[in-house]
Amino acid sequence: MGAYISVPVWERTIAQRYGLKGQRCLGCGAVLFPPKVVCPECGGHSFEAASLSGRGRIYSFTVIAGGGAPPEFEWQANAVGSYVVGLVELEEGPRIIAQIVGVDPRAAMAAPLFEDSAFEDSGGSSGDKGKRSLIGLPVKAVIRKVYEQEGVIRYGYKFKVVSEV
Amino acid sequence: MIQIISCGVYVPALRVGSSEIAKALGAYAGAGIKKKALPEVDEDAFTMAVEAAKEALLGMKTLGGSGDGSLPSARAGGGAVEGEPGRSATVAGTAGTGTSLGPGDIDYVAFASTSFPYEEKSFAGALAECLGIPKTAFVGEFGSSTRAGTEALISAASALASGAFRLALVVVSDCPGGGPRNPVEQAAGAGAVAFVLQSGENEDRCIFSLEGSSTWSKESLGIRSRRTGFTEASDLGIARHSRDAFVGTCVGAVRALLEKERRVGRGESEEKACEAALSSVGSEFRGLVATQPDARLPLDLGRTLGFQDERVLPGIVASDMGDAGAASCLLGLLAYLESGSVKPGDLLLLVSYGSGAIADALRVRVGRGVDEISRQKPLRSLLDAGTDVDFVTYLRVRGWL
Amino acid sequence: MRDVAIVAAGQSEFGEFPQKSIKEIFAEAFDDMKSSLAGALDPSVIEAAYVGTLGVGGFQLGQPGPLLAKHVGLGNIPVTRVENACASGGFALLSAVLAVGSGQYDVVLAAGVEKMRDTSAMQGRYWLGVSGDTEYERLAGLTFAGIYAVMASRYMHDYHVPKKYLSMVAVKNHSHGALNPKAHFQRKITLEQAMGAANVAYPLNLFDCSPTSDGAAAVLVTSLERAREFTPSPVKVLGFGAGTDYLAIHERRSITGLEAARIAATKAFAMAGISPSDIDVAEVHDCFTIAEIMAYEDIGFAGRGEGWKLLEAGETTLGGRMPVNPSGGLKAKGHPLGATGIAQAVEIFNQLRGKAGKRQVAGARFGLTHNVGGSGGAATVFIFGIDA
Repeated sequence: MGAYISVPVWERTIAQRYGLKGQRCLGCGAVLFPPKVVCPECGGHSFEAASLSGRGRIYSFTVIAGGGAPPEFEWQANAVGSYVVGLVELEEGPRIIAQIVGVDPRAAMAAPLFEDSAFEDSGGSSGDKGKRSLIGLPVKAVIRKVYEQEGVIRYGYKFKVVSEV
Repeated sequence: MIQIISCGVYVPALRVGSSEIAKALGAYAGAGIKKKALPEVDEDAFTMAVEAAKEALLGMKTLGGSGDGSLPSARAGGGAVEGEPGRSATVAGTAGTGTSLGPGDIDYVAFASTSFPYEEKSFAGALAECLGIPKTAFVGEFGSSTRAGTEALISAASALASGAFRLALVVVSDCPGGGPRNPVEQAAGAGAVAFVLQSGENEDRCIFSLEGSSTWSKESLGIRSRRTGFTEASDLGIARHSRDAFVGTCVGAVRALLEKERRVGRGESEEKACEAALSSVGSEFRGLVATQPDARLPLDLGRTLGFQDERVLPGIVASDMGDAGAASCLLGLLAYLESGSVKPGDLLLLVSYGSGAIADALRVRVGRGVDEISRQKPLRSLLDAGTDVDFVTYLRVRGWL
Repeated sequence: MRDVAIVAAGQSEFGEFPQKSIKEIFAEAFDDMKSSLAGALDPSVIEAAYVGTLGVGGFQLGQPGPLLAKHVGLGNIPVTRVENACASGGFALLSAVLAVGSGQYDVVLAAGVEKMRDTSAMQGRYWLGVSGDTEYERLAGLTFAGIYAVMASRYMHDYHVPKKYLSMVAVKNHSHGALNPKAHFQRKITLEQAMGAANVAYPLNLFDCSPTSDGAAAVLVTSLERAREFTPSPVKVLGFGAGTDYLAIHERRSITGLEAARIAATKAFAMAGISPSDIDVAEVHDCFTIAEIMAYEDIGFAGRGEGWKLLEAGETTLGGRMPVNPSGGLKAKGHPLGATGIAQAVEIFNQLRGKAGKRQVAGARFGLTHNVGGSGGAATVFIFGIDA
């Protein structure tokens, strides 16, 4: 049993999940994701389509303990135990919530949440991500399997930490 | 000339050492495999394909010289997002420099795997949504054996050669598997490779070109098979029979390639001419790249064809990532190009094998783009970046615990 | 709007009661409410009822109102189920206050109930996530604890708050719960226990999370002019406010506070004509420890980024300057979703009438309740005072 997202519901958001299709407000230029009917910035109603780059930084995150995962994610929790979910701030502005892949949940939990001189990243060097909070790290969007329901694999964006450019 | 102008590659980050498997099971069946790539639980042939294809599409931009640097998404930002990203009007002029190609220019897609997540469902729409490829693009899916990768490549090359298509994307992604004790599973790795192809003469952006191909088949189960409705491929476990099927089918394809290229002289008996031609293969081609159910069979094939091991080894990736199925020979080709042991103008012999049995032999001419590839080493950097996991983690990620 | 008061209030025991049905728990709260009156209550005087419940378990998702109202002997009056996730109770109370304040009715029941411990572990995890944004938040694999954890990580990051301060909320509320015979958890915990518990959604561990509970609560709302027909010491509704925000946290500008709660508090204080410093006792929505710290700031007890500092000096502990969650809060008293907003009012009702037993805040004149739905999609704030 899981949150019921029927196939038609799912398919209506495919452009968002596969292609990060958002919109740009013609009134104020704000980039929005997912698409809305009213611009939260200026109240405008006119938009043009805008694709998002998928590049951004982790704004905040959590590590979900496997035992408490929603039922539709039990397959994942069974396989990997804990997993990381992040709130990512995209280059274009919108925040987007998704799993963060390729990060060791234990390292994510071991790193301090705020800058502390004892852990300060020296920069320049290769850096030890295990000692650095995930917050602020650059990420890019990737396509992964999100979960399955009604025999249909639901693919969608997740984010992967990339090295600083 | 069919040129490969961009490539992308993806190898999952996790690695399982063969010693780790041997320790747990008491034996290990993948000859010459040191470690194998393991997809994360949320990865499959489709997600890996998207990663590799995205890299290849990004690479088009960098190889395109002074293009506007726009990704398809940026291109689409001009207002055509919900429809089809506009085709570049400059594609036909790729002989000139400074053109920028994007996913919106691709009109032919070939997607190959032996491990599609669905037995029945096209991935055309999914690829289009993920990659920004027009929904009007022709999409072919290839998958009945590990030979599917070159089958896709040859189909794309033929389509371009016909003049009916302008820019092709070939994506080969595979993650074969079986039960924990299955020999296929023990060797099974994972990976994906993607190529962008065009018909053109611009040498600068050409990584390699395809100068010909031949196919040869015979009725033989060969190494492995998987019946409809089954998730595990089965290996009969008759090692000598499998080896002979592999080598014999591959040699048949190589012979066919030589025959096609009219190496059979007048008055000579066909048989004799072929033997003579085969005997010179080792000197004509700089190296051999073949499908890699393990890391040893390509060496066996090489020895039969007259290639010393060191001219086969640069193209062997199974040792570091396991059996990547339909993608293995193309990943091997990329490894060879990265290795620094070939220069523009060299010829490589690419041989792809599929149980059943069938093989393709392709004449690959190294292009000037190889220098950038051997500098960047996209595959090697992924192979070196793996994270080793223990046997229990491996079982969990496979979903067996 | 005319003046409105609460004249009776009660709650069932909160906890895990496999032997009791939702109807029995509701009746327990209704009877407890009646017992807070000096005399008997004739159910026929109640003209309307609002029942807050999410419907966890799906046992009676449709029309729990009529089911429960008739079970406790109410007349064939209009009964409405109010749903706003964990703020269902607060919005049921709001509906009752507005119904009386409008002059349409004089005597209205506001109640809340949830039966959460009858479901399997798997079903429970399903129901716990139904009030988040289903399309995007839920499909990132986020649990409710996970949503608050994302807020907590950023809060701790922005304001340099060590984990210890989150755990101090749990220690405080457990110490209060130990004084509440109706609380789900009636034992104290140490800071070491609170900090060392197993991860649920980092940085939140097991002791940062409120429990899932069975429970019900009920209050009787009347016009102030008729209040003394029921009790000599009615508790007056001085002000109230409610607010809403984007359901999903990725759509909100700030995730280190809840805009819906800020709006609700601002309106409530404006209506009551008092300021946060006038509040003597408050019941806030500490579904997770971080939520209580954000509540301090959203209500105005502390400036932005400074709520956690109130814990250092024990200002919000019983005996402190302004005790918060003397009942034990959601954390220790328990959190039967639909009942919570009403139960908060029950505690403040008792505190202002000096009937809160061992956890009585001496001389409390002004009390506040702060009830949040989901991760901040909706919130209510009420300010109460003794009608002198």
